[in-house]
Amino acid sequence: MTFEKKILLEKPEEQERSSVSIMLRKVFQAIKLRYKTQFTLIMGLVVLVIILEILTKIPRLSDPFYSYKIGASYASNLPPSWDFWLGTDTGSHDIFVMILHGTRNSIYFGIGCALLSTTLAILLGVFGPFVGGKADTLSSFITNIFMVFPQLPFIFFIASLMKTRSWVTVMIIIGSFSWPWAARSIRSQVLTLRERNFIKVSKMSALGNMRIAFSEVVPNVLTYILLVFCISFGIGIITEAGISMLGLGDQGQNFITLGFVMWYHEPYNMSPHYYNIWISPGIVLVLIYLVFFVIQSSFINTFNPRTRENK
Amino acid sequence: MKSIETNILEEEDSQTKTSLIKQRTTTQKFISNSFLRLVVTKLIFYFIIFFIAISLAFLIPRLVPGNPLDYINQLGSTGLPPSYQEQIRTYMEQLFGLDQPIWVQYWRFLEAFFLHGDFGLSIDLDTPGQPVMDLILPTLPYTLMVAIPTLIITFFLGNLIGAWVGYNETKPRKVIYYIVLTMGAAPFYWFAYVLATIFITQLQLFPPLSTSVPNFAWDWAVLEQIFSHFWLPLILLIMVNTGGWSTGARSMMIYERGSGYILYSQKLGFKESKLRKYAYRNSLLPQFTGLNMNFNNIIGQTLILEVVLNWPGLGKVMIDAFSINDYAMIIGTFVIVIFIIVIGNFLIDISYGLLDPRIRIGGQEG
Repeated sequence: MTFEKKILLEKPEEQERSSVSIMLRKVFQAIKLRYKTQFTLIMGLVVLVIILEILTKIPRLSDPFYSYKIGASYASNLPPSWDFWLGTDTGSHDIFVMILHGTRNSIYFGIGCALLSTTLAILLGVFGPFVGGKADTLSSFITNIFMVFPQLPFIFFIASLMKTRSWVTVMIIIGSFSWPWAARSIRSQVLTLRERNFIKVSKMSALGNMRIAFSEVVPNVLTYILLVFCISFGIGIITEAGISMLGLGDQGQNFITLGFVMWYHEPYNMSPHYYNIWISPGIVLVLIYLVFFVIQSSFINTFNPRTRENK
Repeated sequence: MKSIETNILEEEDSQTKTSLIKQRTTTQKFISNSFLRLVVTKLIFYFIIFFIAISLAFLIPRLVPGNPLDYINQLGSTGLPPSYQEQIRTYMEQLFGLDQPIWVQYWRFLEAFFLHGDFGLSIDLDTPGQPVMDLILPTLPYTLMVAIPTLIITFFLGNLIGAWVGYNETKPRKVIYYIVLTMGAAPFYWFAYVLATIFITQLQLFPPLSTSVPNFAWDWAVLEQIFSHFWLPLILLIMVNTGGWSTGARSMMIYERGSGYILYSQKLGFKESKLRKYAYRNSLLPQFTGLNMNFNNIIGQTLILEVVLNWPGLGKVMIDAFSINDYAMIIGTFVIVIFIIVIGNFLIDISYGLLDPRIRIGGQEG
């Protein structure tokens, strides 16, 4: 009796559940079909937002470097454990907390760099061809010069001459040298747009050059600008880490980036007992770069119909 | 009447032109007027860049607050009485010509560099008072022997992988493509340590980083030692730089694969290998424009790697000079790096003009 009852009780529930799951699956498939091309982009953005959300939860401390210390007397060179996820170093700093702070600051740094270089690229790539005449030739000449200008040696050169380097100056140096390729690609897009009819119409209706550039051209190359933003973000983070690792970055210990973490733990490099210390910041760098790479490559799939059709 | 006459004249002109073109030999066509024009314009352009760069190298240290002498000598810490310090300072200012106005200094700098190839003397304690040029030039081949093969190998390898994936996007090909991309995403200075632990401490294929590379000599044992150190930076740079090429090559291949001539020749029944070859050749050409940027990147990466992997090239000298504030050495290495990059870019542009006739003729037609 009880057995039959059970069956009788369970059957409708199961049916309901399965119908719900079928419905969910159908909805999911519909979403996937609708947003097939945008799927990777959305997933990448979701992952990015989650990471940023976690990172903003870390308390901002006035002097974060010393707050990683966990009692100088007992806790140096600990192996990874449940309390200290990536162990500690000789100065008894918690590596995991250090990397969290480094990641957040590196992302801020990259965003600042990308903002600066994208702004420069828009200025020279969009407004140059739109103002026309001498401004155009000048902007393309400047772009061509910066294109073949030795950027990395120049960044070393300036960074080494500055006695006190704050992270803002390093950001300005990197940002002001990583825009030329972006300016060139935006410029080629704008040059094709300039001959379109809707631009001619807005020129005939006596709109100013700047207004056309702002209201007609920039929205049309917006996806391109976003792409440039993502790429220069990656370049900024990687370059900063490289410069910091050579000891040419901000060594003030108030704004620690992943490059600073690498530089600070340089004596551990290649030692087989401390993989947790010297490998982890690099892996985090690779992960950040890859997230932005996924977003950037999905931009092309999402907004360029040509590659979408061929897929 | 006049118009008819001019028409006839023009026709005659064009006829003579065509006959002239027919009479030309292949070598004459090869080094034609347009090619020379390309060479001359590029030479002027790169000379301007070089001039701007060395002017910046001269100006920036002087615009940064603080006298350049402060880098050389911290007189405050010597404990001498202030009057002596003042004397030493004025003597040194006279010695280095820093008491002159900035235009005179600039002229002297240019004169010394262009006429004598001179940057001044090093203050490194290992090699005190030696001309900077004598210290830099021996390190130059070490940097170039890593950078140039890297450029050539990564260009062909990356494009092959990208085109191979783009032509036929199957799962295993895509997996290999993403592995190559991930290696390209790794920060190379960190990746150098990872590879060094794998190849040196674990597998023991290469000599450890602490051993120094011997000076160059025409001796088999010495060459063998140099080359045993040489493979690690080369492998690393190839691994890091291949990914960038393959993304571009893949998207170009996808574009070419869908274009009209490939579809048409598919309908005509061409062989698959032939089609692939055609598409590959066409997808390769736009990639050449990326060589300039890539060359700059590779030089910069080599400079950092030399410090990490203890390879005695320009970068190591440069970073050593940074650490002891060897002022003449910093400017000297910087100018030499710019010189390499400018020469390399010039050669790349010229070779692009040789490969693609449109670049040569474009100036005349337009």
